[in-house]
Amino acid sequence: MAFTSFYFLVFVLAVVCLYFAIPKRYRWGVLLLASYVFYLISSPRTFIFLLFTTAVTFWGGKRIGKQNAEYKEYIAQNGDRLSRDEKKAQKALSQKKKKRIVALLLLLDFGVLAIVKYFRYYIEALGFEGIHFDAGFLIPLGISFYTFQSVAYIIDLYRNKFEADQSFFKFALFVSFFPQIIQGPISRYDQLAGQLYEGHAFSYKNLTFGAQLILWGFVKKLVIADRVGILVSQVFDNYTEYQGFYIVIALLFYSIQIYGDFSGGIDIARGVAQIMGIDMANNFQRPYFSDSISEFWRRWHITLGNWCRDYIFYPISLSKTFGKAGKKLRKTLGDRLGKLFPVLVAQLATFLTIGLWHGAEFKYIAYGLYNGGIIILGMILEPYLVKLAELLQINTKAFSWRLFQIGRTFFLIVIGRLLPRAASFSAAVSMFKSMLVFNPSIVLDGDIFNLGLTLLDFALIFFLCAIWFVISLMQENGWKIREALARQNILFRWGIYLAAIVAIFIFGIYGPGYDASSFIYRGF
Amino acid sequence: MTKRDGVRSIIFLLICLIAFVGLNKSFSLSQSDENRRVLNTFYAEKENSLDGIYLGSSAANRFWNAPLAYNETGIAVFDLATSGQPMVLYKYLIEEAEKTQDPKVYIMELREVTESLDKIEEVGIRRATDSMHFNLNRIKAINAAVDYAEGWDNGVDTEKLNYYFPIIKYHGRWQGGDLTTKDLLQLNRMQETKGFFVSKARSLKQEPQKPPVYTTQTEPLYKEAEELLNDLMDYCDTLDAEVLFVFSPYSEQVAEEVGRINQTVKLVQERGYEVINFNTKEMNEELGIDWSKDCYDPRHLNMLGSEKYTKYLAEYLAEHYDLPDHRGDKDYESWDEAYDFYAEFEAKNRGVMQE
Repeated sequence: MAFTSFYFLVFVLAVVCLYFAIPKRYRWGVLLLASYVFYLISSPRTFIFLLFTTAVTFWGGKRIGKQNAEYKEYIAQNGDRLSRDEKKAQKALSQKKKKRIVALLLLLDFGVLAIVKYFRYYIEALGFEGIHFDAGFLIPLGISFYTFQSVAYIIDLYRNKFEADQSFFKFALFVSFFPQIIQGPISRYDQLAGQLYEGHAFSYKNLTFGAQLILWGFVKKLVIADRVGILVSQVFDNYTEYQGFYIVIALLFYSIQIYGDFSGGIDIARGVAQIMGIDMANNFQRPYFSDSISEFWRRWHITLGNWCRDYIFYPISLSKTFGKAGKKLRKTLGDRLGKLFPVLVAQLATFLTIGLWHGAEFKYIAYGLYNGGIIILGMILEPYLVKLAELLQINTKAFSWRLFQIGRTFFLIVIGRLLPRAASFSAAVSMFKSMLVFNPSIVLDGDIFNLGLTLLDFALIFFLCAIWFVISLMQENGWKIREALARQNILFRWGIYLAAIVAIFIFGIYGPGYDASSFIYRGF
Repeated sequence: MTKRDGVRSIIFLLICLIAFVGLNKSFSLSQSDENRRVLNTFYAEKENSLDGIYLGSSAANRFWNAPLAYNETGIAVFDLATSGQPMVLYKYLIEEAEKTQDPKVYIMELREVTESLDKIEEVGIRRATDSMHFNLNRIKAINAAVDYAEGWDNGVDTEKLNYYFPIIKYHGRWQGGDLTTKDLLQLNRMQETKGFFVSKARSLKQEPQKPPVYTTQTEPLYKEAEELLNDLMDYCDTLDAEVLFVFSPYSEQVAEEVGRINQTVKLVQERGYEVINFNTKEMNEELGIDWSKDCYDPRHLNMLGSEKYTKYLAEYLAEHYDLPDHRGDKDYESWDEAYDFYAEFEAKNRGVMQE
């Protein structure tokens, strides 16, 4: 059941009505029921994987929780009698036991992910002829999201951030909450679970704000992203036929498409949750205003970035092993680079994970390495770049410098997206070479209109992107758009809402498509 | 939520609903499409004014010249036919008709019975259902048509929602100049000739055809088609009105299909219904069809052919079903206007045809 389908809206309406119709203490049950119904409708054949991950994580969580409690109780009872070394030894023993459970759970949770998402690709890529996977071998819906969410729960328990969940069904809701299962955000247990379990009272503000977010999500997804996607697919699916500006425009449009698609979906998810009083993590913070790649990844798919930061970057960069290695390397690499070494390794591992998170193919690994590589290079070259700026007397505090940085970052992001969007790594390389042809005439002679979009489509895209840009700029300057809108006169507000609704219905890319020629009278 | 918020929400939802209905009316089958206008005209007919209703596809609306029939005999038999209209829709169109009309006779074209289900086209379903009023019967019509067409290699979209709300299909009409001001401002354009299709391109065209194959042999019907026919006749059993089934004449060259026509005639007669098969040698001669001049393609008659067909059938209907003569009745002025429209077309163009 796609977020943009009519059935999803009906489903949400039914869930919301049911949610507020029953007593507060049972409302989490409605959400669990709705989440499982949603999953069973959307991906019935892979439901077992969701159940497996839920059950294994819940069981492991309880074991870790028990270990935490035992250690706490032991220290409470014997703390006075124990020496510092004895306490340390006891803690180490408890950690060791927990580590075993964590290792087993990581193996199971990531194991399922590896098997269903990556195994098939590598088996086929390695050319094991005779092994074929039929269509029944499906990738479970949202497996990356709920696996990462489950792993975060386990590691946070290991770190003793909170108590283990004692209710299997409530925990099952945390793993499967339907608005986030398809495309996130990757929520943390301590931020989301309590909100899910607590029954929220109906709030008119939540209803209207949530509905506005859903509406805006629909505009971004159906009107903008899916429209530019027509041109993108035409060029990328037939990349050998295009060069120069065709690819440049397709890449630019792809950057609009992926942002509109992903952030639109997240807006719909967050809007649905907000109607029921649940505040889900934001996943985007105007990423195209970033002035560096590392800032981009703090603004784009924020919850994935945070996950990688907390469970990959920090553990590596702060680990004793890499710290010691860095110290050893200071002799050969110098003090600065030796000090940076653990951070550079952590960056590499983080972006390798981000690449792999997107998919198993080499192009995704290359995409991760491309982003990580730029950041690492920037860190290594930083003092030289600062010196160069000083030498050239560049005022790095000026707006123009920031504008340049934003432009440079956007350029690097757009170019980098060749990798995940192209059919393969070699296709990406081939498209990059073809892109270097200078043929701006396609815009002037109208060839650009042979890519599936008309002049009206282009006009609509530019108009809506301009609105989107202005809204983003306002948000960047601290405006809270929905609050600001709520203060306006009713006619103005309703006018905007109606315009958005009508725009979605008329300009949205949905339905079977109308072809006037199919209605030309034929011989009956 | 305060009372004021509640009232505001309801008002806003009502405005949205009105906007949605309006959008579905504008972004629907074009008002320039004659089929759409036929339904508009039908809904605008005065209550209980029709003597008969003729259902079918282009095998009906290219044959039954309703204005001419009225002028000849004074009977008001409306062509509630749309191009490619599948038979499965007949009973729902009758349900729709019965809401405002009480005809003495329904005439139903049966040509589709001889065809396999892969001949059904989405456009054929849509020409009727897109133009029907939004009501439960329309939903039932869509469900029945889509269920019937499903599972065959006919390219019919099986997502019923796409039929319930026309905007899902037609919202792209704002592009390419297909959406005209007529679609936005004239939501109920009328058709001039009571459902009969008349156009220079086809009505005046003369394409010589071979006479059809004549045989008295019968061939078994497709299973689904026979079930549909039986279902239709079961429904007809419940009607107060008389029913006349017809096979309008065409230049059928395949003996097997003619055999299926004969089998259908047999089945219909066995159920006690009257049926006229205009595809026998005797009926062709009775009508006086000249296959070298009276067709615009193998399956359709042109203006000359339809005149012959209509005059014969109008006499037959007036006589056998005791239909009244409305000529001169003020309530039937729209029928006079329809004939005037046709007469003007005919007077202007008849000269270009060989008789």
